[in-house]
Amino acid sequence: MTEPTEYASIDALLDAQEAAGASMHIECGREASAALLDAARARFAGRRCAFALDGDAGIPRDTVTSHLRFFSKLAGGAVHHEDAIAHFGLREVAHTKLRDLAAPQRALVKLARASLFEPEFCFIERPLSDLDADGRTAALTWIAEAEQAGCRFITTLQPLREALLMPGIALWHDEGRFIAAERDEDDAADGPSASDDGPLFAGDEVRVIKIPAKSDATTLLFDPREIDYIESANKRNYVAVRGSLYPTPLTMDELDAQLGGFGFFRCHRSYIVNVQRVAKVERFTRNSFNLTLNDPQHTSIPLAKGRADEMRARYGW
Amino acid sequence: MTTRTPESAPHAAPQAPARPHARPRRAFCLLTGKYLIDLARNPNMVASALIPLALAFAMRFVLGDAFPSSVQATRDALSANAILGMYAMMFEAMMASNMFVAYAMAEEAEKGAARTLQLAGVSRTQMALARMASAFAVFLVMSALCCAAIGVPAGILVPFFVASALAQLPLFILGTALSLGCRTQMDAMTRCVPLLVIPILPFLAACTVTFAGWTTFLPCGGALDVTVALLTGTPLLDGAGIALGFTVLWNALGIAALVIALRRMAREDARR
Repeated sequence: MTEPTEYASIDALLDAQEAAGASMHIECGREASAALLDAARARFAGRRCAFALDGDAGIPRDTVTSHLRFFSKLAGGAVHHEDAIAHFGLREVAHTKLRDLAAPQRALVKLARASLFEPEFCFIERPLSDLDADGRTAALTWIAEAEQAGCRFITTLQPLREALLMPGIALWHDEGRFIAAERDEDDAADGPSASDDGPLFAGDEVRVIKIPAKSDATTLLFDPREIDYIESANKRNYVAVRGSLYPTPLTMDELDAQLGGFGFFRCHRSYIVNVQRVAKVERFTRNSFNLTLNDPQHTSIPLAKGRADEMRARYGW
Repeated sequence: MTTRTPESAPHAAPQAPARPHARPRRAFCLLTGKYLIDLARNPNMVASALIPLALAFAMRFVLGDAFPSSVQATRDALSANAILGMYAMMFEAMMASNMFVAYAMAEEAEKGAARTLQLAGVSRTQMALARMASAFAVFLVMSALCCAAIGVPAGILVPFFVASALAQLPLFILGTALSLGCRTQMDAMTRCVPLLVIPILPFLAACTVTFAGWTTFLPCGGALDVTVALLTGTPLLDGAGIALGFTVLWNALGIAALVIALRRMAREDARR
């Protein structure tokens, strides 16, 4: 297994981004995000840029339509504000004042405003955080299509899972360094899933499987049916149950082996998903798939391209 | 489990060659238009614009001739009518410079809208000039109505209005300079006290014999001498040369204050 690529500073990260011509999605806190923004603004000052930040706002009395119409004219009018309203699903709130919008709608207005500029470079803070399932679809569709058309994104977000949903390089920030997360696009090197090794039950044997996890000083034992998915991030593994993440001492291979018989599927090097919870499979570009779960948060999980065929064959979709 | 490929965005297309952001003059015009529309949509701003007009009517129909008569006791009739007009202009200038400039800019900063505009390529200078232009435009319209409402005689209305508009301009320039550093509307309340005091002083001075001579030298005070000179046919430089000179001086000082404030904001923005 190759060591993940690491960048010692923001400048090194931006140099690599320019050299690779790739988008970068970084899991980091607000301070690192602010530093990245300043550095990116200085570096890309001469280019057509767009920004969608957490603190962004318009005048509260503006309606969505008037707000986007103004920025469409400011951007030169190449993208009509009605097109942006249609794409981001803002038709129903087009005449609503910005101050009366719900958080997901405000987030979509920010992205719609950025899209009006047809930017060469786009910096977005927390692009998916406040969005519902439909909003995430609209946002990811725009990001994927803009990226294919030549726009390069730098996004700062949490958790790392969101970075893996988007086209480009996913990284996390740790004590001033930026470490690239391992992608899992054409991975056949892992071989057949560990859960394929032989039958789980033999005859009258009853197997009781409990997945241990930690919550403060307490050890929790989860029934596999309670688990939505398993996530590996920042060199630790987490069990997702009812919207919360609990660290588990088991390795991804051990979890894959134990949970394979309970309808879990290793959809990514860093994710094992409870297939019973999967409601949708979405494809945004040639190489990126997402699984959307039916949990209350409608969580999106990346599906590696190499594993999509296996999943398709196994579950017949 | 459903499989779905989302529809493409209707406006997505192969990336066009890079286009620059809107040219400065275009951004200024767009922003001025937007601020004018914002003023019309904001009930607080509309009320602020109408209050001086309502008071002008009240002065005329409640006080009647009492006010000009009382001034005529100490000044001549011509000055008395001009002072009446000064009241109308003064009140509207106070409201406009405070509400349409100071509070509006402070709200824009407080709500994050100013930063959104900066990130979209609009400079602080464009924002400041557009705000000043839109506020001054509304002031011109409303103060003309106020002058008519308060009953400034038709014979002096036009020259008085032109002279007064020029005399009140420093208030808007200074208001813009003071508002640039406001991060909240509470900041505006404190910083913009001069915008309440400056327009009142020449009005009060003009009403008395003792201090009438100071009017010429005060900010916003040049209109009185200019109006009197125009109406009496006195050559402007003879009758109101000093007033004209001080009006130009106050405007120049206002512009200098605005330039200094813009440079300071540019340094602060670079540090943030």
